[in-house]
Amino acid sequence: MRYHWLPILVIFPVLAAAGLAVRAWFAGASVDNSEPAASGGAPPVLIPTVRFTDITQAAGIRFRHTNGAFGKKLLPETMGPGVAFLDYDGDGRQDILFVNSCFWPGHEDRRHPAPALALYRNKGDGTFEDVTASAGLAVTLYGMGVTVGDYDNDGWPDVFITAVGGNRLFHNESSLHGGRRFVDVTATAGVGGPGGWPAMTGSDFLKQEAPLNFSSSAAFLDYDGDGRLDLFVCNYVRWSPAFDLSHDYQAAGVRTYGQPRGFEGVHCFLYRNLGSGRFEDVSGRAGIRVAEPASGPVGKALGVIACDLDDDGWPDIIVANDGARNFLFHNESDGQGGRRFVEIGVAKGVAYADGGARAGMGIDWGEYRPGHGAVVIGNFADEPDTFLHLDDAYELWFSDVAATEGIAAPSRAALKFGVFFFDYDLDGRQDLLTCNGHLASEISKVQANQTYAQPVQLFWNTGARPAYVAVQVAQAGGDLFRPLVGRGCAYADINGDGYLDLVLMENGGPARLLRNEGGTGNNWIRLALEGDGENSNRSAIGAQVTVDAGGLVQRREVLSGRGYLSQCELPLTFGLGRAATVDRITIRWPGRNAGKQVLTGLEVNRVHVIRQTGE
Amino acid sequence: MRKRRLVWSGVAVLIGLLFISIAFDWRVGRPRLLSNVSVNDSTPFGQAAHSLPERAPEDIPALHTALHDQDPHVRDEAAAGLVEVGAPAVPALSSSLANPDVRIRRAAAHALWQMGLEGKAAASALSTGLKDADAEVRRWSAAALGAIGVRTEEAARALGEAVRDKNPDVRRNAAEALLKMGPAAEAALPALSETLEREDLHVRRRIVHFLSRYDGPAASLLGKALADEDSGIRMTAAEALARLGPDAKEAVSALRKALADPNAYIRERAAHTLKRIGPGARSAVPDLLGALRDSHVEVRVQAGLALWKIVRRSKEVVPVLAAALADPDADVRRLAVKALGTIGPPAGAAAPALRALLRDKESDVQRSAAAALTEIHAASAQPDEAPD
Repeated sequence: MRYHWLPILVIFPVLAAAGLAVRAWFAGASVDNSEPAASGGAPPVLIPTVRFTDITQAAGIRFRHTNGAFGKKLLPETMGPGVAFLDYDGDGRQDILFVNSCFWPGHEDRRHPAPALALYRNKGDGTFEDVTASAGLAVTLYGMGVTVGDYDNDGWPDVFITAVGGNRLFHNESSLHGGRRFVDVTATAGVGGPGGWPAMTGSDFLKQEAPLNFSSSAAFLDYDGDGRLDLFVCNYVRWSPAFDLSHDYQAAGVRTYGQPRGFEGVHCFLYRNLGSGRFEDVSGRAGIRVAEPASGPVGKALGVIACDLDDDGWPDIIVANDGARNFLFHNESDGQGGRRFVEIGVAKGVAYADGGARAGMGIDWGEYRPGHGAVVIGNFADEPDTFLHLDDAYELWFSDVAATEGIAAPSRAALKFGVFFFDYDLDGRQDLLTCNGHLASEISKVQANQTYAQPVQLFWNTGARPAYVAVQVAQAGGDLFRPLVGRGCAYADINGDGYLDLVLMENGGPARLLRNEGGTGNNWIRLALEGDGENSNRSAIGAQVTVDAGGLVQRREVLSGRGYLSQCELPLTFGLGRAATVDRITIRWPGRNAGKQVLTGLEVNRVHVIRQTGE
Repeated sequence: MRKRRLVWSGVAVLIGLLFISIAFDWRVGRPRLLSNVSVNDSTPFGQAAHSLPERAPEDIPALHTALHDQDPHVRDEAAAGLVEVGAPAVPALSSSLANPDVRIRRAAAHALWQMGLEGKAAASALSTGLKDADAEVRRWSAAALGAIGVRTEEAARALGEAVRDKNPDVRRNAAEALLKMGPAAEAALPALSETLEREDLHVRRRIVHFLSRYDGPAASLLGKALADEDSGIRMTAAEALARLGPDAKEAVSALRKALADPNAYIRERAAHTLKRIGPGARSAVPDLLGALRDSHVEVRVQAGLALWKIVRRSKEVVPVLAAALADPDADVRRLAVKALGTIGPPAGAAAPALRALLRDKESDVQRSAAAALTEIHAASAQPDEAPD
């Protein structure tokens, strides 16, 4: 009798446990039902199946990056390279320019030809041919990045290469055989940067204390609206071999690459195009030098995007810094008809994330929701991508919405470098790709959640909230996600099917070319813009295009130097979904004297070359 | 003993209730508002990670109920949930705009603003919201009408009234929403004109900023802004008119006045715009003739070009352009050379100065000079004066 209350004590917990079991069962069923893409009773998210196939070998691409590493772990070795899509010969097909680095002085490998830039011409049959030598680009330098633009408005795209120890500008000229070739015009143009590549032996080189200019990404822009392309160049850190070696950076008991906080910051360069093939360094008076009184230059710039954030017709600049606050340079009038930049990153929510500076690498800008633009920045491992929604275009107020838009959690672990918006399934919404890879080959020994080679990440734009979901192997194929030590990346339509193909760059490894197999049945339209060379630059960099089709209004800008060290094709691709006609296309040409152009009746599923018309 | 038994029984019941409440979620009966984000970190790099939309149309009733909760955090979360659902939630939010509780109306208007284009079906309710007694509701209704991309006459009319609202935030949002509507807002533009007269500097700057990219007939409004007391606003308006080019014809009167602006850049832009308007700017000829004596060479060159484009007055224009050929600024020389090339044979008097530029230190000035000389020496001579 004294234990007659025991059943109560037993029955209640048993009932409760039963309740828990039932709940757990339902919860489990819910998770099961969410695969592949639904959860919590929400409608399934139908990520389209669009496969990317590695066609590197079949296309004849043999490029392999040389970083010159010989065991001393000099910082530049792990930072490159970039890549560019450009139509250098004007045949309407996108060619590929690979940036290469080289061996350090005294450590050359004499068994093989010296590493050089590599230009591959698109033959239009699915293959490319190496035209580096005939195009005059068999140039050996410690290359990092590339940007493309017709700086002299002659109708042919020119190439700017960033490097350690001196940048190079190559002018696209007619060759004796009727083709095209590039001529190094760096000295005439005055855009090489300070110093140069040291002519010395290996042991002397490693003792060099004088800093070598270490540029990273670059972008052409017409910041003063005179119809000529100016040039913005990111510089990473104040670097010299001796200083690098004087710090004993360690991982897993062996020397590893230095962290940016171990190096002083440096200023970026802004070169104003004077015409006649010459540039003037206006970095100081144009306001792009950012310094703190105590510590000197703030910038450790790796990525840059020049775009018209506030839609006032003048390109602004955002710089992604590695371990330092990001910069937002607002393009303002100097009151007398000239232009200058004012750095307002802190006030506008661009500089920091979670109260501190992240390690920013690549950067891009795009409209990811109709009428809503965002800046995306790829950050270091264990830092999510920064996804800055432009809340107010006039005030230039930004908010990081990476978490609410579905990007923060999936992107946190990887070390992101290249990043860009692109509409890979042509549904009219801009998707997102990041090219990832760690700095240190031994990282997995000290961090269990990290590997040296990492898969790219592809985010599909849902058109709902959150805006992005991570695409899986099942939807995009295994080739895309095969891990690599990723750095730069770029996209272009290499075969004229409207679907955007990819090139991924590996540090110290082979480049990869991936063909987008498409198959969504969506319609598209491609626009290759050509400015008049007077009011607007011939590359139309900075042009804003609005496409009104099927009730959806999309806006894009022709951008130079997107992502990390790289350049995507200049033609714009608009996915149209099921819309079979385009109602109206409005082009706002760049430049202070340029107007707008309205086009109607353009046929879909083809590329249109649009030349600027006006007075 | 009996007391002890009762205590143990009580403990057992409490433990049981605790487990049961955990098992069945003690919040049953209340809407579950926290997102159940599904993240599958099957690889270190989240390659397989998913973060999927959590809200579905079937959540709407619960979320709608929660929108009326006394707890502001619950209301906020409910509004966010409805935004996440998107278009299917619009009727619920639209009906909430008529709720007697002002807090709910505010939350609904704000949510519709956040929803953007998906909230298009709320246009009518939002137009009504512009007449709400509460300024916050009116403010967010105006912003939402801009965000949802509506282009109806009803909305334009309602926004046209809202730009006369007593609250400056409502006026500002209404003005910006109108300018986002494009040509559909044309009927409401006179109301915007009044706004440009009475708003404070910050609001005027915002409005002119959006006006400068307005996709409709903005010339007369920009002309009005060209007379603003703030030089920044005048500059924005001048640049916008320059981009409009021939479409800036309605602003000729304002552009004539701008040729006397204290800021040289605004004068230069005004002359440039008159040039682009061409013969339609004939009434500006006296002002342009005056501008040929401007203290700034860029203004003189643009005024000369404008006069040539409008009435082909080479007699006054060519000497001004020829003088500019000696300017130390290569951009000015380049522009003057091209202008003389455009004039062609009537610019023959400038040929000697142009020949001198064949040895200019800038290669593209040399090339332009050669091209201009070719134009000037073209066989087909043109009349020196255009007929009036």
